[in-house]
Amino acid sequence: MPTRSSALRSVFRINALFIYFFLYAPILVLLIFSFNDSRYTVSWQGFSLRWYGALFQNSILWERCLNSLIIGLVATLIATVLGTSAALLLERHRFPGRGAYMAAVYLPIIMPDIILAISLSLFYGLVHLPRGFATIIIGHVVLTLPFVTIVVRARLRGFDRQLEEAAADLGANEWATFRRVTLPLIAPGILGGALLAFTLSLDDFVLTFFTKGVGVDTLPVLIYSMQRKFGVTPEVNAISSLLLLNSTLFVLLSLRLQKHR
Amino acid sequence: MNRSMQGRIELRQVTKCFGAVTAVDGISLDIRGGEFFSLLGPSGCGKTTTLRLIAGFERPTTGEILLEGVSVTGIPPHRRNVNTVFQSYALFPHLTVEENIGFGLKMKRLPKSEINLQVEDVLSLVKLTGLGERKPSELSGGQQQRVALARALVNHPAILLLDEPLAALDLKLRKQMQIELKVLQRQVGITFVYVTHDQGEALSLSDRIAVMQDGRVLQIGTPSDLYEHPNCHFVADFIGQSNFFPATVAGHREGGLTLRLTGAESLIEVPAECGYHPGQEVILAVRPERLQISTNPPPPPFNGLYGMVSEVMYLGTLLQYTVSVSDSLQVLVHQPNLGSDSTPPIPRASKVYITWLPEHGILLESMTS
Repeated sequence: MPTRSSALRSVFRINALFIYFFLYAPILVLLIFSFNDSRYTVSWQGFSLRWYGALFQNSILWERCLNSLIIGLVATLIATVLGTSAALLLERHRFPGRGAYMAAVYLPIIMPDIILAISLSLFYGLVHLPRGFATIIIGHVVLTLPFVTIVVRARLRGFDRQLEEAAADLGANEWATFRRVTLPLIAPGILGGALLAFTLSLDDFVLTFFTKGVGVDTLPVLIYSMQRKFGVTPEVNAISSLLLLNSTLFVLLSLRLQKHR
Repeated sequence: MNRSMQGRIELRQVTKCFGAVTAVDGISLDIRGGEFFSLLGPSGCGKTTTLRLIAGFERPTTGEILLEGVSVTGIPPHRRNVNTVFQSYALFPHLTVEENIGFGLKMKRLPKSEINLQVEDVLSLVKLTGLGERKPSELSGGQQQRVALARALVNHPAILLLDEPLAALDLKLRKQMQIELKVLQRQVGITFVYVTHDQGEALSLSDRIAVMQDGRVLQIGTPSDLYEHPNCHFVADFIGQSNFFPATVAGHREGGLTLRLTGAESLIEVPAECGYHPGQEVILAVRPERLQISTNPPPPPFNGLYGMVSEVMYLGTLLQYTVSVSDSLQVLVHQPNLGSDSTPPIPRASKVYITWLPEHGILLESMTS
């Protein structure tokens, strides 16, 4: 019936409009107002790069940036090694408790960040772990590991196991086979997973906020405290825009690597 | 090492089960060093599993495998002096042709200069000189096949295992590679174990063939053994073409039997060993090219059948007649195509006599017995 289908179509259309509007309009506003030549976000006063310039003068910001990078790199490294091992284990072996293990690895994806954050915070308190870099990094590993596992497993699924037999046939022991054949061939997947993990770690606020100690802040935490103190200033808009740009680039790169043959 | 042990493969009552499925069922083989030995059979007959057992990718459920006189039970593939050419070639896509071929030598920790030298040598052996820098994906199917071969041969294994190595190539190239493989095998003088489902390929390449079905070896022999003296219906049917005539033993004759073919009146002679009794049901197999066809009656008593040509097919090198002897008995006759002037084809619906020499009959056990 043409009337119903056209009615349905307009519903879809409105739905799509809503999605674009509520998802991207605020981001667009944020981007635009980061170039606003005014202290206040309320009205447009002309184009300016002054807030980006101000960022470079802000030494606290640079320090937080460095913290974020250190935490991101260390957490990514650990999550990538552990996540890849988990992927290999899940994809290559059948063992008792495999289903439970898989659920445990993937749980952080569906668990609300806030619950994860509170649990970790409680746990740290219980085992008397002093808050600092280590506690944030552990949190970020928990958060990002499942994503590495998902991406690497997808890569392993398309892997021709006969290549490993060929390597063994040519005299390569298990380790040499892994290093010279398996690893290079799944490397794009591992790298893609790592980039995703790094992006997630850089962007994380909730877990960091609950697991950080006094004095160790990351960039998202700084943004949060800045806008609490001064409201949404153009400077906050500018940092946020840069963070957004960075994340977009990394995710695009990660997707590209996952498609790589 | 004892010379007679070099390149020798022995399988003793080897069985391999995958869960409830028995892929290889009590196989015993003794493959001599330097032999071109084929495992021939339809898909699912266990030939590839047998090869994988020898390579070490699978462990026998029971039984024992000896390579060059030494039991290899529990020895992993990377420590066996055996190399494999895979059906899919399994070339490493991230390595160049040279790196693929040099992989085995690198694993043996040979110096780089030595590896390069040997890789060059084997590249020229398989006629791929100058393509060493390429990636496998940049090569044609035939070239990839040669790389797979070179990658195995460069290690100078005592035994080379080939799993349907030519199956992915088109007919012309396959024929050409068959000849090259045979020449190469003589040249390098190592044992080839060759898995194929193509009986023509097995016949033309092999010194000996093991015909397999349902995980068992039915018959082992030279190509002519298997063709001339198949020991069962399956082998006679799988290797070459055969006419199968159900028959009953009518009586004994000097050095053979007389048979009454089901659906025909004439008595047929066949050489046979003792052990048959009159009235016993048997099958007589005769190759189509061993049959003579003629519109003129041969002098009686003749060893043959009388019927009507129901189909004539022109097959290039030969003419194929389908002759209807009775409703239940069709006979295939191959006549060499010697040029239409000398032997004009017998037209359809002609009455013809089919004759053959008694020694061209192959007596087989009836399938029901």
